[in-house]
Amino acid sequence: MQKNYIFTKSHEWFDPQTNKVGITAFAIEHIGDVVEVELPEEDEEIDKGDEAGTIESVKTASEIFCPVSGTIVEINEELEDSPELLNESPFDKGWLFKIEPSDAGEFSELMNIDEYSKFCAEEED
Amino acid sequence: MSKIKKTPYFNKHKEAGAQIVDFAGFEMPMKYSGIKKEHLAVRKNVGLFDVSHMGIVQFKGKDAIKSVNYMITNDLERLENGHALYTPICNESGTIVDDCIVYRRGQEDIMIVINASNRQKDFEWFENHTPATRPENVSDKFALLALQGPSAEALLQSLVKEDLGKVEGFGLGYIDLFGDKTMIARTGYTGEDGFEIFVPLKNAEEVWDLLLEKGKKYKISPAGLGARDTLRLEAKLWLYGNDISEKTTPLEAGMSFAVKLDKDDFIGKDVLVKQKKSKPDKRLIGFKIKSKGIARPGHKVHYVNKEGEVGKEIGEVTSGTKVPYLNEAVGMAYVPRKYSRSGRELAIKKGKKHLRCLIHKGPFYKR
Repeated sequence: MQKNYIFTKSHEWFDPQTNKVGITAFAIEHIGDVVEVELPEEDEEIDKGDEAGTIESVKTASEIFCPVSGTIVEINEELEDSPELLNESPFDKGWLFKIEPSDAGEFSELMNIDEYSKFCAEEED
Repeated sequence: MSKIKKTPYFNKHKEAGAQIVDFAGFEMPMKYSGIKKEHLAVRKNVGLFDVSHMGIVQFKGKDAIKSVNYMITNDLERLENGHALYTPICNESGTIVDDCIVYRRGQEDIMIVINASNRQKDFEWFENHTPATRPENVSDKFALLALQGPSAEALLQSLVKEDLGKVEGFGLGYIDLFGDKTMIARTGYTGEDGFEIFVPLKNAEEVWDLLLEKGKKYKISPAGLGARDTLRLEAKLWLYGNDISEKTTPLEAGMSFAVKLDKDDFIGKDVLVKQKKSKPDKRLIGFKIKSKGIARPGHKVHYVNKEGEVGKEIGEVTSGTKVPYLNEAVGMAYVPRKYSRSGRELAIKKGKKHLRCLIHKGPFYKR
């Protein structure tokens, strides 16, 4: 499923088919138990690389950076009551928000799954 | 830089799949199954912590009590043999060098357990300030374990003949483990009942294995530094370096119960007597956040007037997270004493937002 996803160096994923944004299992492993998620507002316009919310774990707060520029069209309201979905299902039920991309040209600047896997392996060292 | 150290349990942590972090120069487990799970295991069942990174200092001889009592703010003279007490150690300015538990093992035998992050500093402090008895660093003679939670007593009792019911809170006892007399104390840092076990080094791994094996029945979980931190904050216990330091006095930190100003001379007494009289300018408060959001150390605290309007900056958060058992965002902060009354509303600035919180007196969680 994540085969078509594209990835940032700050460990967000973007699914060009559904326009959903989330963070990767690699990132969530490092963040730990998520206790609260702060998300952008619907209709908010956000540029690629700008802050689009915060993931709070018991240990620390981690910023979410928007993987592509666009307008927020939907947020995952399930996360309000069940932030643990990020730990349980980071690539699926734990999606963060949907964005209407303003520039599909940006997609090629992100990594594909193979490039991202390699990137993580290097970060791990 | 000195070499990073390992406790006797390093391999056990690896075996248990722990995430290892460098803490105060030791390779320590941050978590095993997850901070939240480990936290809840301690609140509901029982958890096992490796706290061997903490320092242990011993004072032996006829002047031991007198010597230690001069370097702590609490009063060891009033304590009976076989009991322990919590106390800050202050410098001449009345600010806190460290906080620790002092064990009065006997008339001529005192043991102190100090924070891992202050081991070197404290030992030098004791050497330079003891009026008589020399300190002995006995940290490497023991593996130190903390068994904490409502089932801690039942589990430990299932392994030994000695009656643990006789060991009261902050009391000491001795149990036989693998043929060796092993000191235990009914103390901890989680807000739960439990024991700290001074395991003779040679039995370190066997005791760990035994507790985890026999603990299965009691749903035991090994617990790491992550859960240790969230548990202590939920119980509103101080963390040295966050909530107390050489910039704060025990009176400012709300530790009056451990400052006995009527005892004989001790380091920092003059300053603390004066501060007690004039009352401290700042106070450490606990707070609960009433809006969404979580406060973290370093966030600034702002005044809120009767109309609910946010005003000037008045302090800073020292500890803060969403604690797993209560599932509430709580924390501690220093604010001017005049704004420190229980129930007062304050605001914590987080980015562009202000989190609304109320000052909370007493522990957030009490068993």
